[in-house]
Amino acid sequence: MTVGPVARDQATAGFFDGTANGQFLLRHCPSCGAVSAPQAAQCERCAATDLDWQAARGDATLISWTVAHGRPGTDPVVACIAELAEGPWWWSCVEDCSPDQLRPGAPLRIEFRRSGPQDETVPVFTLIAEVDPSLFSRWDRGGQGSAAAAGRSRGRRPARGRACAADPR
Amino acid sequence: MTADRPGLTPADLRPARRPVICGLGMTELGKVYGRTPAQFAADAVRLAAADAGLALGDVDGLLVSSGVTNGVHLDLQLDLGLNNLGLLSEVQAYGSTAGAMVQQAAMAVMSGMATAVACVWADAPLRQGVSGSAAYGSAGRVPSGWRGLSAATGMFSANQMYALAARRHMLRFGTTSDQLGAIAVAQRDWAALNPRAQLRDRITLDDYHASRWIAEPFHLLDCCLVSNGGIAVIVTTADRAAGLRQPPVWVRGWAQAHPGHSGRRFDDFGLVTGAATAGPAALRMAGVELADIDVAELYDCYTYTLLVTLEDYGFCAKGEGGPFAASGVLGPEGKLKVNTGGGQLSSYYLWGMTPLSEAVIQARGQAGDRQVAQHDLVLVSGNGGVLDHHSTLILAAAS
Repeated sequence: MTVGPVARDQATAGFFDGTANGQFLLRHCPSCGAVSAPQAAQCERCAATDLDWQAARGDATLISWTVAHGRPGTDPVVACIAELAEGPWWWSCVEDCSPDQLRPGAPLRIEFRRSGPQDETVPVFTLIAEVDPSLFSRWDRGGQGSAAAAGRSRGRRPARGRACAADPR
Repeated sequence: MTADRPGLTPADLRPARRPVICGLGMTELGKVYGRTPAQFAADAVRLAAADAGLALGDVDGLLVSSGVTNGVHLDLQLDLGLNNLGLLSEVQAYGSTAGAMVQQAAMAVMSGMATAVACVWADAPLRQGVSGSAAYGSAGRVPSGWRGLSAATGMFSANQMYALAARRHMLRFGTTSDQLGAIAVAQRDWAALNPRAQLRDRITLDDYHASRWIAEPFHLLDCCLVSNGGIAVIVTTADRAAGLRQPPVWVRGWAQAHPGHSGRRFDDFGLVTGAATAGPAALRMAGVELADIDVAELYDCYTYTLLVTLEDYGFCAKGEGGPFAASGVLGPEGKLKVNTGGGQLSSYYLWGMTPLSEAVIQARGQAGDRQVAQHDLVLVSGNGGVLDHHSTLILAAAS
């Protein structure tokens, strides 16, 4: 089991429709253009209540994290706050990472998981492996690839199972 | 940050009409089983009335609140036989509730709608044979909605959310685990002097580091206790308190602040709290300066909460709470008298009633071995949600 079960309610129905389709939906304000958090009942900038849904790109950066230790015999979980590329913050977990890899501003990617076939799909974060900066200069000299492309490349593929578990220390 | 809100203050009143705390009632606290939150609450009000020298029937205002069990309600008036109330309400502002209740009671007696208002908070999350974390956990419930979504990805408890706040403070300001540990050690030294404290054995920084991880950067000894029990205070006017049993404690200034960003973007999350606004506002209302404060009883659900509150009230500069806390300024031998009963970390965890009860005891001069010599002005904080809600009281010993 990668994430826990969660049930939809009236307030979250639209959001879970999005996650079922692999989309993280934000609230977009047609009148002022601002993007608000999915939970927003009104535009966070102009207070308009007639909001659209807008799919997030899926990129985020790490704001803060905690390695949360549960009962003996359970794996620790890395819980985090991340800033989505569109601006809102989201509280979730970072899958399959070693806490040593975490630093503020670390690039993250939204992935979707669910507890079981009957459960709602929930967004989690994975850490995008960063390339050693010394490699950039070597590639630049050799004219191979670009730093931007290197930065975008996915690093470790999350192992199956225990998606949110941190590597034991 | 917010506009000045000029209004009537206790200093504007004739001295006889000033709001004062005249009674304090505390049940047995801690691992006390077999009583419901409502029973603890009723006992606390009876004890507070007796402490004040009032008959129970003299209480004509009642404000009630509870913690995770949500077990104290308006029918407490029936349990107490109080059928002639001019004020009755449940109050809920999480950890800032105790302060909020005293503020509401003070305004009620100032206006004359009630003359003796009991403010009571009680909870009984601990059950025999069940761990404290289970008592405060959400095990067994099927999570739903936005909160359920957080829980599904591992955000189970306040421990994690405050740990995220503490981490942010560490990242921004370089605050260290040793500095958080210094707070735990200093408060245990105070608790050793408090007969009511649940944990009275002194600890070292090594003990702190050896305690198990809860949610990094928090060890077990960064986290508050879990306690059963009830505490009540009675607020009346100075003229009414004059003939009663206890030295009155003047409620001289107060304020609240509700940044309320939990779960949403808040660029100051973990860095600045509602104390930064409520503190100066309460001091202004009381007509005193921070430097005049003799004793501070601060909400310390975690070591970090105490640290950031010290900064926001201005006891040290923003970002310097870590070095300040570790400088030896805390503890019975330190020059800043903070959390003199051991706080929520070491004495008992009755939410905002923990700092409030110790403040009343100190202001009266009844703290025994841990009594602070100079105790004319006592600052009390309350903090609720995940740094979402804040209350400040400035209490003054009767002169």
